[in-house]
Amino acid sequence: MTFDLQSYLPFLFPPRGPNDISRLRKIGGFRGGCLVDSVAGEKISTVEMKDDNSNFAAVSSANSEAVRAKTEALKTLKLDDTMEDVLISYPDQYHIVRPLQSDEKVFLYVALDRKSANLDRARRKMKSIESQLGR
Amino acid sequence: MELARETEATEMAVADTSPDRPLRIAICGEVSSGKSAVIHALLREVCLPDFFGIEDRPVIRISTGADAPSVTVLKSDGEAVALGSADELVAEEGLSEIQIMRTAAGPFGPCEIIEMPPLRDGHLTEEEIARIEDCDIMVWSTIGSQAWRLSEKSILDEIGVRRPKRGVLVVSRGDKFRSDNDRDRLMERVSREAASYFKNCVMMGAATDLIRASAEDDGAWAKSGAEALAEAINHVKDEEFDDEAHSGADIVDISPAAREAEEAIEPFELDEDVVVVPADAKPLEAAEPELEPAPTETEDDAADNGDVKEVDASPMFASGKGKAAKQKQLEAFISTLHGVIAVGSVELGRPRTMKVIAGDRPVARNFSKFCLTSAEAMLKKTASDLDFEGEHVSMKSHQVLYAIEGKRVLFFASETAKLPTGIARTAFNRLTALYRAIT
Repeated sequence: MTFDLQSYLPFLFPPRGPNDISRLRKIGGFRGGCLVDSVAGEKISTVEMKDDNSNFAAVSSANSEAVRAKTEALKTLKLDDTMEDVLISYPDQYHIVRPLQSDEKVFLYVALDRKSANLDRARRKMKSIESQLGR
Repeated sequence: MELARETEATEMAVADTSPDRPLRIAICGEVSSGKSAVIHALLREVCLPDFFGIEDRPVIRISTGADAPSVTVLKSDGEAVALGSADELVAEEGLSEIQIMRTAAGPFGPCEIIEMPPLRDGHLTEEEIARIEDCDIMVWSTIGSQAWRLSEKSILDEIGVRRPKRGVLVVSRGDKFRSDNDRDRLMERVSREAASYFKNCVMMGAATDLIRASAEDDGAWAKSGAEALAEAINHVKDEEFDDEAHSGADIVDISPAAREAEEAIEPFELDEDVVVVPADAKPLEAAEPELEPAPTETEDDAADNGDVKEVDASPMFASGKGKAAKQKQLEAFISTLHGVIAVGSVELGRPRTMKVIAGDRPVARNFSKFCLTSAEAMLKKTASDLDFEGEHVSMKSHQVLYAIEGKRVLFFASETAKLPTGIARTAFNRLTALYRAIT
């Protein structure tokens, strides 16, 4: 009996889809993440929460909508600048919302534990993950 | 002329915080632990003067792979001096930063090497920790004869989870040992004892003559230990790091209580060495024309049309000697920050009174409207059990931070290039604490 490694590879290393956001889990302090269409108000993909007791699904949708409104409000400042991301602070959590460069109405959203998150590294990681989306 | 100098000085603080920036390496260690020698060995050139005996040492920032070479010295009084070459650098008191741009890419490609000054009073300041946190790799230099002391562990513990997880420990002055056997035994001990802090450990013996010889001689470069260090840095920089998986093994975590203490805001004391930027030095030209405040407008008018009405900032703070002193502290603190555009507070309810603490008033008015709109939207949408505190909106060139403080929104806007995002957050935390003490 021969062992055909090739046939097992897709199970061992499943290919990443265009909306694969599983790498968000690698961010220190990760609590939950998703890709949100802020106009339709729906999740394109989600990475499960560790201990979801914070109504993450509803909060991420609502906040994404608020951030979209913010991108419009920014235009009134006439700064000739573009938004990179928004950090939202709660007593125990940080949420980072990052518009996709390819579609600014779609946001990469992550919730982090406030005590263990390294924000600069988390922002860099999100930038890296965002650049891989859609490929 | 003074203004030009100040402008130059503020530009010295430029730090690219974008995720696409070049690799940033922090060279850290205790006093006379061989930090400069590490840099010289890596660059194969003795380019920095000996700061031995100088009490307040500057931050050294060396960029490799730059478009054009330059050497600039930022003095503590705000003056920026451009030099012809690094040979003209003189070790003296009163320098806050030295910036060297080199066209050669060096052993890791374009990168930024930052030598942190030795500690003051055995502790790192919040700004120093923020600088280290902004780096991708920490190279920690420990003196061979006293390698890996308790005091070094204490410093790293103080930095805690904000320490870059990619790190290399350098044991300096390895050439001072009598035999290979002594060197091997030392490296075995240090590697074992420092394992929970650094996985990579390299011995260097970078005597000045050897560094000079290494400019032309690869053998000398290898002998100095710089080649091994360059390899170690190249190895860790390409690591796809799983923050979570390594959180226990690679970094000394601190308890929640210690973390809280770490984040606690110290009372601010004005450092006279810090460059003072006039608070109203940066009006936003593009935004000004339509931002003229209406002088005849009353608070009632403002309430009716939803607009923001500016009032004098001084009555914002309750009277009393202590609070007046705090207000001065607040203003002095803001004046030490680079790239500040506007700071103020605005009422959440009606009337929408705005109080400008620093910056150009019409511009502050515009930012206050933005923050007010954002805060109200977030308070309306966010689930009540999460207790929304505030936001940090990062753009390519600007950033806006605001926090809900009772019935008011405290806001802060700055240029990202002049005030890195990490430092801006720290500064805003201090500012918030001072504001609370006053109001």
